[in-house]
Amino acid sequence: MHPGLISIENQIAAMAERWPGFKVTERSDRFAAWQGRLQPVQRYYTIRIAYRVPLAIEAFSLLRVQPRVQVLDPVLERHPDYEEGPIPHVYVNRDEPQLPYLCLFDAYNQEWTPEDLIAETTLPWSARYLFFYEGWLATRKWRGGGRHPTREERDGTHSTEKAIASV
Amino acid sequence: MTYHEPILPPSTADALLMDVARRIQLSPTKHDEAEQHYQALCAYVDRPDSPLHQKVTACYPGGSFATGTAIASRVSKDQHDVDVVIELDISPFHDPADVLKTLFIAINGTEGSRYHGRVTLNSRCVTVTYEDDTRVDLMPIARLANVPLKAGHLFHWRHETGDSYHKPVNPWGFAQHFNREVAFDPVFANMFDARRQLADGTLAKAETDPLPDRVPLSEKSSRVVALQLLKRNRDVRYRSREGRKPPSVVLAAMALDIGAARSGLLDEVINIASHISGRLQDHIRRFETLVVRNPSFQDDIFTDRWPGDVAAQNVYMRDLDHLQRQLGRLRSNSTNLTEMRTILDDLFGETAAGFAIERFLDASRREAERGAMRIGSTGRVLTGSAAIIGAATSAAARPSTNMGGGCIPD
Repeated sequence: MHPGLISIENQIAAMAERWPGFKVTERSDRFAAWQGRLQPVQRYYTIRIAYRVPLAIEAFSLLRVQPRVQVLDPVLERHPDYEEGPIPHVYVNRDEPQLPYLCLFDAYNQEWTPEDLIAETTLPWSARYLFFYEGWLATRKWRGGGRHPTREERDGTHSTEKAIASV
Repeated sequence: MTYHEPILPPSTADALLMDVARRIQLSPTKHDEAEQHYQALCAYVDRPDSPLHQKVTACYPGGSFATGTAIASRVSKDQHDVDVVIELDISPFHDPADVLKTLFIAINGTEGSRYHGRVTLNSRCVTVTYEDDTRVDLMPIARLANVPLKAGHLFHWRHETGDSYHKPVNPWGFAQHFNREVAFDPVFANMFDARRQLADGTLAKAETDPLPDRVPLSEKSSRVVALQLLKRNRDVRYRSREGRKPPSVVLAAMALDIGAARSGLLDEVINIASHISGRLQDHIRRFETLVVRNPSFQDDIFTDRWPGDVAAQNVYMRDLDHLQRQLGRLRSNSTNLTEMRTILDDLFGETAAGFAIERFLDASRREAERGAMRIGSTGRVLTGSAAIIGAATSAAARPSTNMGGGCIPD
């Protein structure tokens, strides 16, 4: 493994220390999945995070290797008529459409890389997402900020693989 | 009165209630304008060609304006009513109709004069409505001899029924008593100020101790702000009802009977609501009507026009019980922001509730963008003073950008 990458063991250890309520539910070689509850405002949400540490030799894209966060309970509501609807800032999950993946950071600008601890980034960002998701339900407007990829970024002319150079 | 509660960061429910309170309060600008209005009005009553020239001995805020508990009468229009006492150098036993009509003529003046056409004669006061929808209720009183300072008679006259009498009052005495009894609470004032700065997009200064003389009267204690919320809830409930609503001064006087104020705003609203509801229930059981007197002048009975009967007490007692139940739901662990908005709509009206929820979210976004948002051990999002005070048990959330759309590449 590339020395800059954080191993799955270290990710698990950091999660156990910072988020003891989150339990590892799946584990294999370079992969782990956690499940636990977050209470961004007052209601609890059960979420699942799955992550596989990339191999250094892989020419990975941050979009592809990012930790995948899903809200299991209550499932995210769909409101096509709300701003940023039907669900704001998510990636489609073709296998389980009711459990999309949260878009929590700007991969094109490397706001997260495999050198970051999930416990310090993905988890707080998930709580923040759910906080503004509740606000979206209450006001029908997304008040959490964010952006959508530009055409260049979507078309791949903006390289996301530059991340490999830095890790 | 002393404070025994520990310093705690505002809960989500408290933060929302603070934002509701900010929306219904008299803004500092409106407050200054209202003061200019009434001072100009009193000077006008005393002008040389006025029928009350050289009869005005004093002019001062009365009612909610003097205790810091004033709220907007119509929130969507930011409309405020300001109670002002005008002391006249006349006999306290003067004919009420004559006093009120003379005051009306003195202000209304002749056609083309300053306030002409904007003046209304009421049973105890004369109301002037300004272009910005602020209304000043000018209540004439005449001092009595051998009674506490500034106690006097108000003049009651109703043209339609012929009712005419004098009523002993001391609004100045009550305001002094209230303001003395409700202690300045630096913890609450600090929290309220930090909340304002956060919601308005300026940096929170939670480490700065507010000074009593710099904190507006309306924000000095949770008791004062809780009374504002209680009054707003009463106004919303009585919007479509016939008959009188419980007077603000009755609620304020009853709130003084309770022990120490709580620094938590929601707790304090429940504290006051529960006390008043309990007192009403006691009287309902005995088929009696409540009597509340001015603590600074016992002859001044605040409850002379409400409650008229046991049924009127029952109506308000049910309102207070509903308020307590809804506030319990507001802070429940199972309540989400949509449900919170519905509860705030129900209790305080749509405009104030919408303002509170939107301010809450927008302030949180600003905090997130500048990296000041912290996440507690259960994933609770902390911003503003909550983030500062809760720093030991939470972690900073570094900023990131919500992206969106499409699929994750295979």
